[in-house]
Amino acid sequence: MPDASAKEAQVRDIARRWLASGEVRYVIGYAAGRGNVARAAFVRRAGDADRLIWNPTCVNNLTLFLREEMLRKLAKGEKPDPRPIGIVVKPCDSKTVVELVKEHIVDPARVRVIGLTCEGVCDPKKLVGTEVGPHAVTADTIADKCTVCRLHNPLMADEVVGDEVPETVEDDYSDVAEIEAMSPEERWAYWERQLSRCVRCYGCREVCPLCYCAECVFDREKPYRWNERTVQLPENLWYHAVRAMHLAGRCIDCGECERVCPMDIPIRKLNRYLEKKAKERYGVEAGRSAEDAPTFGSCDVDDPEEFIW
Amino acid sequence: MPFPGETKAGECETPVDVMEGTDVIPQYYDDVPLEDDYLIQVPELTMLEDAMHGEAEPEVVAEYKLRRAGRRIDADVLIVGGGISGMQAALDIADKGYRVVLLDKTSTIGGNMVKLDKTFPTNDCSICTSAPKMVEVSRHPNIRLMTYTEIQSLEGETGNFTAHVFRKSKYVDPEKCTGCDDCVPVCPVEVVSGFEEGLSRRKAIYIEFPQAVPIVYTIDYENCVGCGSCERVCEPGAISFLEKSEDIEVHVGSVIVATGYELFEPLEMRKEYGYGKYPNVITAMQFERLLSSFGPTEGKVKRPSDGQRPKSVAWIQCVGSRSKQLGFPYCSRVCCMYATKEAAIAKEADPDIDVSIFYMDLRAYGKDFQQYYDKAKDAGVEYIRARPSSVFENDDGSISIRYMDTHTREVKDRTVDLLVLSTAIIPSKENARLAGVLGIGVDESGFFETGSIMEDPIQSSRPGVFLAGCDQGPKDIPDSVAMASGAAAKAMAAIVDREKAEPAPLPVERQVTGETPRVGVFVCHCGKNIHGFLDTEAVAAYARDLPYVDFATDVMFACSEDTIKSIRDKVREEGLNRVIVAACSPVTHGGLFQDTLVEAGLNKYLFEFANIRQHCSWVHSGNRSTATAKARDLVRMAVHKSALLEPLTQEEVSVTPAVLIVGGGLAGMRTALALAEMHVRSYVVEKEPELGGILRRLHTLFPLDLEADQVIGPLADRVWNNEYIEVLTSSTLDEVDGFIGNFEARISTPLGERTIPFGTAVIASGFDEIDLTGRYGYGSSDRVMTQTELEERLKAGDLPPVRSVVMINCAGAMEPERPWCCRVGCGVSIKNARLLKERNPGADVHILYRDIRMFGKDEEEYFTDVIENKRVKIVRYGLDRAPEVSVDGDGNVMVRVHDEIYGDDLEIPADLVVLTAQTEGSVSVDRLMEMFKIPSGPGRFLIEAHAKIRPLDFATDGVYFCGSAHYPKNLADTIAQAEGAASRAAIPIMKGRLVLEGITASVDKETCVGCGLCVAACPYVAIDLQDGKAVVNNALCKGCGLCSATCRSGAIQQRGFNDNQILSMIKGALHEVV
Amino acid sequence: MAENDSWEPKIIGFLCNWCSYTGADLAGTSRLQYPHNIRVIKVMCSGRVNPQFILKAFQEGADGVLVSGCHPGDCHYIKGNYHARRKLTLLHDLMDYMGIDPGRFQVSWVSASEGHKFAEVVTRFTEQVKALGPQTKFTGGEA
Repeated sequence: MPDASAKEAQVRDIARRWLASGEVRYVIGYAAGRGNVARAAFVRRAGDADRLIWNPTCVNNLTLFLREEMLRKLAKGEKPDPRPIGIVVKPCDSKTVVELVKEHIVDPARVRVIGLTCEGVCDPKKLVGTEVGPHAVTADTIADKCTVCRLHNPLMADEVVGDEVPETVEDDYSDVAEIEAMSPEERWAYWERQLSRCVRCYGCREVCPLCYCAECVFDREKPYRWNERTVQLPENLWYHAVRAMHLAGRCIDCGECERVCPMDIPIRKLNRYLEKKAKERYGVEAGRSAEDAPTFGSCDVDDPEEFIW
Repeated sequence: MPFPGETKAGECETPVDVMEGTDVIPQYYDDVPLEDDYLIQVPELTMLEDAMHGEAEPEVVAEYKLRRAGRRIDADVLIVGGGISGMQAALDIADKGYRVVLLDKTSTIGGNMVKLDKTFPTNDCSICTSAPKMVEVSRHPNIRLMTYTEIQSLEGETGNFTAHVFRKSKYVDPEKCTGCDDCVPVCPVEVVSGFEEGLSRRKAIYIEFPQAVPIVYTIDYENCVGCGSCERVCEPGAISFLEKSEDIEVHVGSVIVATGYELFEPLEMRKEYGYGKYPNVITAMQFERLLSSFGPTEGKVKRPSDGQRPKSVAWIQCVGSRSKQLGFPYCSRVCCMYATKEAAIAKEADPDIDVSIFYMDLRAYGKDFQQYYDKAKDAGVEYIRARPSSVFENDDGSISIRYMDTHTREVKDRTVDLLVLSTAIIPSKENARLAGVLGIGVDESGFFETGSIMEDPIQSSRPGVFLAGCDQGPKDIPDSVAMASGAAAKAMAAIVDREKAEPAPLPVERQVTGETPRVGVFVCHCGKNIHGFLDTEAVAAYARDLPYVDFATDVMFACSEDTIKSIRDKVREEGLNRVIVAACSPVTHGGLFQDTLVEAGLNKYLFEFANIRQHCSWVHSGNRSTATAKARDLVRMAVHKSALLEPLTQEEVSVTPAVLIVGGGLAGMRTALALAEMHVRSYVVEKEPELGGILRRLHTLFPLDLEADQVIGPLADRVWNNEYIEVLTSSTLDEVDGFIGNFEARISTPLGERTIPFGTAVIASGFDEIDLTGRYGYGSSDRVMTQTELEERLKAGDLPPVRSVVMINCAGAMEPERPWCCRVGCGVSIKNARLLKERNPGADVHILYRDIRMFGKDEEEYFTDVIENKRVKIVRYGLDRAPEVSVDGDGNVMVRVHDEIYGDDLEIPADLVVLTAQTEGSVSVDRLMEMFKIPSGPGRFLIEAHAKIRPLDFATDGVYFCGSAHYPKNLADTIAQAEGAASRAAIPIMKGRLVLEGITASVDKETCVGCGLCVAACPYVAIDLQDGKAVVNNALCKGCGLCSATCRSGAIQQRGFNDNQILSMIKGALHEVV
Repeated sequence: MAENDSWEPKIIGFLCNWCSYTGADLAGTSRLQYPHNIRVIKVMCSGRVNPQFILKAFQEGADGVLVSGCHPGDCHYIKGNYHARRKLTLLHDLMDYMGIDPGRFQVSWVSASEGHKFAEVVTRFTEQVKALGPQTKFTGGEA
């Protein structure tokens, strides 16, 4: 594994250079967090570039903040600043950038990307109880999403940090396959157990870089409401099923939803299932290219339809 | 008389019982009365005539005089024939604001197309695409539809015709008939159904098919025994034996004849194929009826002898065509494809079935035809190249076909369970009489004669009378539709200065926004049709207690004149602002009630239908209480939705009165001239310095050997000198902005940049030959050239004498990379072969071909003449053993080819090799696609809005196309399309203002984040992102609602079907109280 | 179990205006008989059917939901049914994966001329839903 500290130095160098030249407004990167997970840092001055870090605790997807900036309404009297935003991304996060560009949320001219090669980061939950500090990515600590990730080099990066890593060729949907292998009754029992626990804190939605609707269907009150706020299985089921449909063909499996879930609901297993099906059926893959047609905004005469009468 | 050796009419009674008992389909080919013979002596007239000769009562004399004087209708265009061509022509003219009288001799419009199951090459359901058009025709305020009517005389001249038409009584009052079908079961008379091609029977009171328009039953007087049973059961009292036939005088400026075709009956000629003798030999049209889901077998193919599912079916092609001795000399144009379609559909429905087609040349000449044919072959349709000599029946009813295998020269037999004869399109037997009545000519085959088959395919031999569709010659549906639009354009010339039909003034719309919903519910008994199976009074009483319902009642017939009036009155008296009718279907009656609301001063979108007849009483007739409960639910759902209905506005936009025509070839020029005849201004943009397109390079034109210059020269002069046309040569289109009605183009011209506003556009960008460099020796010797290059040499007159010529057809065509057929190459090659042979009588001329595709008018005849009389040799080759051209060091050219028919390997030394090169759409298409937001398919040919019924339109409104930009085509087809495109493009301009769809999408700017998903999904390019928000162009939106279903936040909503309205129906359906 | 015998499923049917609604009309005109359970909601195009409508119908107590549109290639709006096919196929997949009786949700293509097919589809689907019993997963009710 390439030396994390060497990559960290490179990230700082690039950020410093961009900030010094004034070509970016600020750089969104990782800074040391309090616990086992790095936090987002917004570095505005070249002199602060050394606050940026890169290590296996950099699990979070910072594109959430990029998206916030892109959708932010200007404050009264604020002049639009045409300079791009710099952002540090892992390969998985870079797919989010692609997806956000595809969805017209991010204007590619308004973003400069520092892309890191990556072979996995740590799952903060697996680090609980271990000593805070630079952690090693081991079989015990690696985040689940990283074990099935195929992309190890960033897409759409203006500058790449780290040597090119061979990509994984084979898809690994073993987590999904486990559930598919169950009987329908077992599947229902599984999801009933999981979704009954949901407290509808909407953390999964809040952290998701692709949940950016101005008014979420789950919040809509007027002139009609789709769902009730009660924390009961039927409502929870509706919530998770609709959310999975909204992310179908879009989710790039950054795993943030699962990371923030206080109830440890395996949300990724829902999203990854639709990711798998969308790929199998329609050959679509989220975050592959900004030129791709959106899964639900396109169709093909030869799309399979075996369940249709 | 009975067919020789067959049972007499009366003896055919038995099969009917058999049909009911054991699923056998009887088949009738003898003289059981078929349809009522048209123009029978009408009884009341006979009675009156008789009375006149005797001592008649004064009132009878008065009546007689009145009847003779007839009614008078003043209109602009008379259209004879209500098939797809007649309907299209009628709509094109009526949409321009002129009044049309449309006649059909049968009791419905729709013609032959509605009999078909699906249509090639898209496998579109035929009735599904025609039915909306039929409804549109019947509801169009400018179309006077007269069915069961025939023309009897036509006097006068262009601009001033007087026609006498005879409207035969249906003995059913169209105002009262509700189409309930109660009369049919009680009628004791059975007649063989002509609509079902003799495969089933109908009663003496009948509708031709369930979707017939108008949905009015007809008593076929010829066969009616006058028992009165129907009259006794008819609740609305629609049966009227006193209803009179009428002689009506119609005054118009132009006439369009679209009387269609008949199919060859292989009874006398071609009787060796056993039709009429063996029950399991049927015609292709009968097979269509067997495939049709509303046909006699509900779409399950069964053979007539025993009702069994056939395990093998064969088709024999060219039955009645391509043979002067055994039918007609011409190619019937559609049979190869319909047989391919029928076989492919049969195979798809039953993968174990064996399907084979006996053919001579497989004429897959049209757009996507070759690919369709290739797909059918891949799917397992077997094509056997042979013309069978005879067939015979086996004991088990199967049919054996005797033929000679053209490869092995062996005589073989093939036995199949069902044999289908691909019978040719032939001229209607009535054409001779009609031609006499209309004062127009017929050609040697019996089709109506055109002004010039190459230069004026739409003009009949009488000025002011135009032809559309198959009465002029066989053609497929899109060609008929294009020609019909063309005829509509031509018919405009004589009437364009007339005043347009003024729509009746409407009452001022009452503003209801902000009012509490006040819903009125009218529950229809439909006689016993609803009330007989559910309790309409209980439903009305239930409705009365629902929220927002102010008024509810049950009515006998909701659609009757008195109920319509009472709805209007109740809206006013009770101050209703929403109306629900619980009756039949919105598909047939929605428009009627919407109009009623408008007449009562309410917005038409405040109406809601509850379908308690087709969707309830008729399908749950066995259980009154559940049917009543369901009707209550359906009404409750409608009430829930109606409370949320909002008045919708149909916006209007103005139209810039000019057409932009891209391309100044034949198609572009003929479009401009046709527009000019309608007094519509146009701009022709041509990139070359001269008008004429590809024709500029050609020497002569197939099949009349006209000199291309003789065609194009005078045409270009007419275009240059026309006051309505501005020509911009050496000019290119740089940019197009806007949408239907209000486009703007930036054009680079030699005199600088021009900005031109226009209302609609016609793309006529033509085609190119593909580059064959490196193939067939092209580029390695100046003795190898393409057909177009040969034409240039012939024109220049610098081609030296030749001794041996080899033409290679399909060079670069019908191969995996470019799978389509070039459509024009066979004709060009045979014409040039003849020319070279005439100039070099001693020369050997070979044409190497894959299939000879001569489908146009006079083409087959031309080809036969060249082969029989000019000694041009033709050699058939296959794709796997394509000809090879080699050039040796001395420049000698040798062509090697494997003769697929005789199995020989030939080596032909040639001093001239002519390649009939594959074609593709003009390279300029790529830019045009972007500028006009239009799609293209394989070979850069542009894709029409609908392959069958909208062949000249794009999905994008206001943009049309014609000529080879659509697909390569010959002169006549190009001209018909060009004139058709002119008609289409003139509609918005002659309307002046466009009334837009009311059910459109609307965006909530607050919640839209501009993700663009709706933009990607919209099939009509009606949504744009502007400043990060979706913006709907109402001029383009068709109101499908796809965007609303795709939007995650619900920021874009379909008016009239918004999330809230649909949710209210879901809740209404599932809960008694919401 | 007398109660179960008399139980009748509630079925919501979304039919497109151009093909399936007209096909259902034809079933009526042809006097075909099919189970009464379906309640039809007309939409202009099957492409209008948001997957949320289906899930919502279940939540409101539907035991089955049928969506029917024009056959592929026949869409009045060019390709609305193709879009519907994608969305609804994935929804069907998801229901299967979550163990929520995908048999309660069906899509069919019924053309304007297929009255018989409409009656067959409704009959078959009603029987299928009946066999599954009352839908409780989205309502929280007792089976």
